[in-house]
Amino acid sequence: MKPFFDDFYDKYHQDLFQYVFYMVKDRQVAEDLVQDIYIKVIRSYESFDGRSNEKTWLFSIAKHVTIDYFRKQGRKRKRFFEFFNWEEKGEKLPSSAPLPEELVEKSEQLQQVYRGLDQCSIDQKNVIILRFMQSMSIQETAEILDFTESKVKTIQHRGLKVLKKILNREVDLSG
Amino acid sequence: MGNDQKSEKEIQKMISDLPRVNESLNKGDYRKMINKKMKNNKKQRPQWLIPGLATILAIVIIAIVGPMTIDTINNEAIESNDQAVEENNTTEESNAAESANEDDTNKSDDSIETTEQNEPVEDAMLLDRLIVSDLDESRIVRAVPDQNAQYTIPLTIGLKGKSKEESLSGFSPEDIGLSQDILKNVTISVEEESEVATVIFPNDTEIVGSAMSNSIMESLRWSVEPYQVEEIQVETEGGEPVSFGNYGEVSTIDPIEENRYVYQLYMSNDREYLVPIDLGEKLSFEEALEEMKNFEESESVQPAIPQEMDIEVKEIESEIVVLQMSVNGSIKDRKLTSSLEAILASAKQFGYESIQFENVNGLEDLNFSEPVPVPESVNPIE
Repeated sequence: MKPFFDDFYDKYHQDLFQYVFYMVKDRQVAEDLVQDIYIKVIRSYESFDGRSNEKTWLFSIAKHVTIDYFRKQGRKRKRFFEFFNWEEKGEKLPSSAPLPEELVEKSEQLQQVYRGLDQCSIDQKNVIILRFMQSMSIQETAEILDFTESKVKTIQHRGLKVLKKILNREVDLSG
Repeated sequence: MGNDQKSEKEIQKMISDLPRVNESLNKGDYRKMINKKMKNNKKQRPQWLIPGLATILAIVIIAIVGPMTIDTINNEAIESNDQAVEENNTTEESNAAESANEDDTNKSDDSIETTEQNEPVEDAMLLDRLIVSDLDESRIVRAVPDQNAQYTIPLTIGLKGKSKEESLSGFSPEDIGLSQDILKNVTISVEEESEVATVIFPNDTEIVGSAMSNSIMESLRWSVEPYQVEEIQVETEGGEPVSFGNYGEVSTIDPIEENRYVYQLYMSNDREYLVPIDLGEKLSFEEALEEMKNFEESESVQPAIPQEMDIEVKEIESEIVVLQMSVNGSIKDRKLTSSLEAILASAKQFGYESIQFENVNGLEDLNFSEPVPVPESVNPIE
């Protein structure tokens, strides 16, 4: 496993970790999911047919793993709400995770963007992170997420609109 | 305020300025953790390896030899282990007919005795024939009408490493005894967080007639049912409502209601599927089980619970149902597993998470000592 893992780690690890972290916003969970992603990569590399590039393929596995994580979390959350007989619909749970220390020093607006990602749907978050943090093209993003290019554009537009609304609301409030 | 409003370009720039976050693990740590996880997974392998391999083997046999032959093989194997069963059963239908006769010759028993008890490995794989316990990213659900457009059959299609679109474009339900994929030109996406499914039709879509409208609506409902959405939004690529025959312009479709459907058995081309049947009103699970037994058999749909089987709902906790099973006579493994699978799938429609089956003695190698989780989806197609 060593040379193969080393190769992937050296080439893509930084981008991979950032992608997963910004999706789940929890360092420990991100590290755990990244391990699962590598295991899937190691187990399925033989079936990689080279039709997409290596990085796109890696990120499509990463997307599957993070979505599976959200799905499991969703089920747990659903059970939690059922148990307490609370109404889940209508209001999202505010993210209680603290800001990563790397963001604490940054501007208020950047922190707003970070928090605002929680108001986007998972698809919107995926598209925004891949497009603007990972600098992926529309085509690469479509390939990773198994969307059409027009769907990526639509979701990107909707996601930016959500963030825009949050940021401009803040601007209005601050005068 | 106007000048301070952020443009999309500025927001894109801000996203790209989000800082890189440090992690606590280095390459060596990752290597160690991955090795450890992979070893742990290997240790767990025996728990699923045998049924897994058996399932793959069964699929290969089915693909190569064909449904008729596999029925013959199964039945021959079954008969060799059961002295009481007649010698020459070769089709599912004749088995069904003869199982009634067997009741006269087999002694009556309070517990469920199946007719083939000496095939542990094959028995163990049977419970995965009609249900899918884990609907992960390697599978997609697509519901299609039967050939007479009377029923809607949800199918769980294995992607086998292909993309969703690639898999669906090569999917022809006609080959497995069902109608064509009437959702072929439709894009379905589910946002699980908001529990909304969005269905996009081509711009010029106009669905003519109530039969076609009903079939499309039901296929859509059952295609997204496992994802537990609260709303199905329907629009054209241009964002307009869709013209649905007599229904007029439609922009939302109600999802499948809880407590209203049970699964019965649909037969086509010697294949068996679970088919959801509308009870017509919301019922209790106990009433629903009665309906599963007393369903009036049609040419293609049979009741999932055989007449010989009695089920008593012993206890219902918030998420678990305890069912006391008994049978007058004997039931073939295949029929029993179909029944159990249909009951499990139906229990999911009533919001239960697992079923504790009591008094099922025939399938010794299936672990009935623990509650069996309800499936996430039905009718696996590999």
